[in-house]
Amino acid sequence: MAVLKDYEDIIGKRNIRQIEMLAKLSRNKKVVMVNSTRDGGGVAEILHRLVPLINELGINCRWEVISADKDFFSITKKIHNALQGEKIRFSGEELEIYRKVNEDNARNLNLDADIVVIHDPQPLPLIDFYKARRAKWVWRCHIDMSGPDLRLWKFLKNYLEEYDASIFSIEKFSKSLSHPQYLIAPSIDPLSDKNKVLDKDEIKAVSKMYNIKKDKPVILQVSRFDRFKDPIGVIKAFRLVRKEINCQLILAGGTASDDPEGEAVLEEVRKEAEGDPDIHILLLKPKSDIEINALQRIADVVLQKSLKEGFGLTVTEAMWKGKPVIGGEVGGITTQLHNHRTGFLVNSIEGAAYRIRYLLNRPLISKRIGEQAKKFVSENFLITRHLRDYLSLFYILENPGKNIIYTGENEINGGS
Amino acid sequence: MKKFKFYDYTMLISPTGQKASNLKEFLNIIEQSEDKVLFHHLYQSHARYDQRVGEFPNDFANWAAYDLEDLALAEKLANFDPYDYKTVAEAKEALVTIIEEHMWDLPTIPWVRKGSEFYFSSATTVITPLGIEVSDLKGFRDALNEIPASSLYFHFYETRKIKKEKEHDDFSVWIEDNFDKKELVRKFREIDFYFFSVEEVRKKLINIMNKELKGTK
Repeated sequence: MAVLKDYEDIIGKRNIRQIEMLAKLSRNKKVVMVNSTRDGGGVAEILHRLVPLINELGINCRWEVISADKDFFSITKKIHNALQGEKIRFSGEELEIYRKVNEDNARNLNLDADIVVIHDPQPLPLIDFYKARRAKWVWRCHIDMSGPDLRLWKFLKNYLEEYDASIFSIEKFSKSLSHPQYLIAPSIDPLSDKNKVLDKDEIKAVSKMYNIKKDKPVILQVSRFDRFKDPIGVIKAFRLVRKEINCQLILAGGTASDDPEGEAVLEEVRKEAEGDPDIHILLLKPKSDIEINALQRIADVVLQKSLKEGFGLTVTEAMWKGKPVIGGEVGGITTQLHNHRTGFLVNSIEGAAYRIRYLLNRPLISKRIGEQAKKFVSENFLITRHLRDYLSLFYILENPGKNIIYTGENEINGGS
Repeated sequence: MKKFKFYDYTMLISPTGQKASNLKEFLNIIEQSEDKVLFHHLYQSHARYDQRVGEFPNDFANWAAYDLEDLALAEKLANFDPYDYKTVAEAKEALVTIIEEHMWDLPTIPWVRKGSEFYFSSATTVITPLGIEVSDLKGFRDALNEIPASSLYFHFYETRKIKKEKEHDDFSVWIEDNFDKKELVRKFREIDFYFFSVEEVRKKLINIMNKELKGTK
């Protein structure tokens, strides 16, 4: 597994130095991260890389996962959807299961630390069972909270207000809260299997495995089979494009252990694509990182036509590989794709189809946008920047109420 | 000879939870905002080299141009230089006057479409020694290549505000105090820093230093 020094070729010595200096401020602190799944989805993926790097820097960081049954995850999936704006009513029984599972987990988890970071809504109520805590508790929200269902939001806000701080991915998700809120964008790891450079043979092997012939342009969407990712809309956009340009579509995705809806959506997608030889529906097994990496490198245009999106790490991954990306104008995708510069934002099936045609018909522009996208990601959305932000946060939590925190000497050059 | 110690500057942005959907709301929130919020959007916008793709030097001007689509207001806000004012409160007063005068001439209040609201934030910054110290101009030039953009922002932009002296960036003050290099100091102080991005400023400073050190080993 990569160590911090391995990133020097990508981000330069000066940024490594910055991270090391910040880490010194929180050395020997104990941090625990808590989420609801160890595999599948962006959060688990980030924690797999971030936790070892924080430890390498001398901060004791552990990762705990709550355990729960299918019923709990069905409810938390509904909570997830309602926070992303669906109007869903919850019965008292459902909310009680949500609370009770957290109470049981509070008994079993070891959350002894200086800083506890709770990821997403599944473990949010844990704080209720640690009334006499000494640690700072932070809620890290990874989902699109720009327009949550009001009733559910009021219910969850009671838990959230107990926290010392919350973190959102972009400003649009922030809320009116009594504690400090911080912005930390998610990130990708350029050295992970999903993003590292692959050689030609590795890419060829994946094409062969999935029977993809590079005889016509490839349009790709990689995402969980989830209605918010609009896979049916992607197929419709592809069919509009194919009227004009001979091309093929790959829809590739897996399912996560905390997402019980995945199979139903996959079935709908298969039905929509039935009998069309130009549409490849690939159900990826967990840990298919090399395959995803290769598919993104095979693609000519990458789509992420989400209707709601926390951040959209698949967008970041494709941009990192120098691909032109078309994304839904929602959530964190809007901070990554800037029209004509780093990609395109669209609001409809027709918009997606038009931008695919635009990019396929203009290879030089596609290439330029891809190059700019890669540079943008390297400056803003790599794991090393994410690490730096967490290190700042740990120190800021120890110094509440201050806007500027000087460490070391107070005297700055020039006598101020 | 006093050494120059480079400091690093790490910023975490804190949204206030307030947003403006039209120019009137925008003005009202600015009028009620704490100094740290105005400071963030007017001054620290240069440190937000991340995630901002705009051609104007502060967050307000970029929002006016790209979201409100009021280019006349964007032009006025782009030309507004907050470093001309000793305090954030004075800058705020001048800014409010610009927006009020602009609104006075408008027949209707302009709105943004959903999703393009202005979100107000402040920031918390951690200033740490970077572990780089230099005592001569060659070492200083080399360090300019080495330091992160955030450090350059701190020494060349924000400390002017801390000292309340627009002309007094840390670099030129150190050169003035330690070397007999009036021309070099003048060149540093002539840079139209609020107009340029931090990376553009880095290139300019390194160019000036390379010319200065030409012929020296």
